[in-house]
Amino acid sequence: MSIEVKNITKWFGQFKALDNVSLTVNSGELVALLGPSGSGKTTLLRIIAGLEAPSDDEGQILFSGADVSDHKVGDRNVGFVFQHYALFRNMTVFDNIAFGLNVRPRATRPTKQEIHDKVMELLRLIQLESFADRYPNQLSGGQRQRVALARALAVEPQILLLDEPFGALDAKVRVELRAWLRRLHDQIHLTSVFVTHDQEEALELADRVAVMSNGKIEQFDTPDVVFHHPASEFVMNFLGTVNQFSGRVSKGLVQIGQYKFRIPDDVNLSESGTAAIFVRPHDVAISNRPQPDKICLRALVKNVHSAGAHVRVDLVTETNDELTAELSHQENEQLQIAVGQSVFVHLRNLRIFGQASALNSEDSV
Amino acid sequence: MARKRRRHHVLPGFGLTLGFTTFYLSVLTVIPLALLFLRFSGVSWADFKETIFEPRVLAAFRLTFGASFLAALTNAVFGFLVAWVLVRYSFRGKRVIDAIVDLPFALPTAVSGITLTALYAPTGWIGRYLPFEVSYTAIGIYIALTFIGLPFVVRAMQPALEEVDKELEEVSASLGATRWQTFWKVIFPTVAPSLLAGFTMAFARAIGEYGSVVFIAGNMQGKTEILPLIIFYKLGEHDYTGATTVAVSMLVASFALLFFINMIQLWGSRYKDEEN
Repeated sequence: MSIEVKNITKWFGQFKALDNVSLTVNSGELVALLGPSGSGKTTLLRIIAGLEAPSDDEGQILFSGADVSDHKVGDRNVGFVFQHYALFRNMTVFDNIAFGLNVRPRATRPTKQEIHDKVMELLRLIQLESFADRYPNQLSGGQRQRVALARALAVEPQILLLDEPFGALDAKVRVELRAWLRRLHDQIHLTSVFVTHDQEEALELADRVAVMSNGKIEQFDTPDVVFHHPASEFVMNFLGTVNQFSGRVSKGLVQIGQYKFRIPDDVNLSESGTAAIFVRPHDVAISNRPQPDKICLRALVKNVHSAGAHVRVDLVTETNDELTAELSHQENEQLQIAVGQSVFVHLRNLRIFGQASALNSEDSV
Repeated sequence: MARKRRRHHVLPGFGLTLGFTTFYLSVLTVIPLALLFLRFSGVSWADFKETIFEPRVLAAFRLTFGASFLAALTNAVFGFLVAWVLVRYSFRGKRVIDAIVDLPFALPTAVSGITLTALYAPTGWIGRYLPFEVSYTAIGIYIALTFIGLPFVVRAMQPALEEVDKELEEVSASLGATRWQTFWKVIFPTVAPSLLAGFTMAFARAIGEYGSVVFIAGNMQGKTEILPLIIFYKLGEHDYTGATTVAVSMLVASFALLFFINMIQLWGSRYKDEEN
């Protein structure tokens, strides 16, 4: 079942949580809403679920083309999973999962045996068969979240909505549960939308990622495109660590300090003025001698962190910009980088985003 | 050189405050209670039986515990409702209503007793419209006990209702439950321990209530006499043994009841989240 969000605006008092947001999720897709807190991602999810109503009448929510804007949450046939599980603690695991079936009107309620079979099947799915009679407080966080998921799946929803589903779990469980959810999604082919502020989680798990900021969707694309071709400064900054320079751009040249380089071909920037220049740490190469064709700066090594999968090197360039480079242990051994050493850095895959074009007139590079 | 290190509490003043607490509780509650039991230990079995099984005393037992139970039950229902309205909705005059709830606490019991008597007397503002007698009957006692017990239930319920997780209701709704089902299956079980606590306090208070009851009760022998009044009479007749006997029986009965209710409460909260 596809989800179409059309022109949704939401105000909380004076605060605009969503600003004319539109989004289409294809049937069977797993989509992440990614953004910092206050970006409106949870509000959008809650509006899709029907837990919150848009602020004006122009907004529409369509499921498979049918307008459900006026449907209550219970009539939308969505499964909703909360960050803090929201399990009914006065009920056993079994009763929690059976809840959605037990509250059905008698005419549509399955028989006791059917409910039992369904719940046991779900317990097998979440690998908690022997926990049917436990109470939620006897489970770990990861187990609770799986029960919450099973409870949502029991009513056979067409759409699964998850609000920071792994947010309350510790790092190791989070990674396990993440992989498990991806397998589950591929197994049952639900249309799923989940909210997260963890970019790694979004990029690893989702088919497509909607990056949100200030109530707007900045970019909505596959993890690959979002990561390698960020559409805006915000997306670049939000996804992964990044080095930032301020420079100037004009006439096909980019200037950092007193150095000018030709703007790389893949950068599409016609305006001129001050610009934010970004480069990811793994796109910074270090060498002992300059390579004239490339964007190359002299830099001083400030710190070397070699405990980890990569070696992280903190540098200060001659233009006084702080810079972090990431290289393999092998490269590090070849170069023998030491603190205080003077090296050359080459910047690959620059991303340049133009800023205030009002400054153009002053610019005379 | 092995020296024993004195362990210090992280928070200072533990010894002093614990000492004071013990002293204060002893003077205020333990010593009087102990004296009561000491006095009671001298009562012979025959005397005990004679006092307790006197029809007048038995009637008072039935009346006191019966009316108190009904009053507490009434308060459990309507106090829940009042607390629900005060917590879940915001409206004009909410603070006023919230303050009015405390009136039975604040009003001197004799004042409320006289007021209720005047209202419910056959010629009173309310009493004249009622087809049955209220003043000087068990119904009057029940009304007085309901009046003084209300704040206990409301004040016990308010924090519990405030803590009800909105997400639980949202989950319930998203799973297709009606409002009514959400209330009975999700909200009520989570606040039931507090309701029981409020009920217990209202009940306990009602059993010992004196001031607000004696005026409206009329104190007819064997009909509308409550237990505290019996004790009062016996003291007036210098029958200290009788007074002590009734007092101790009342105490034990109340204690047994509270214990029983506490056990239910403990059982009801067995699945409470320890972490949160």
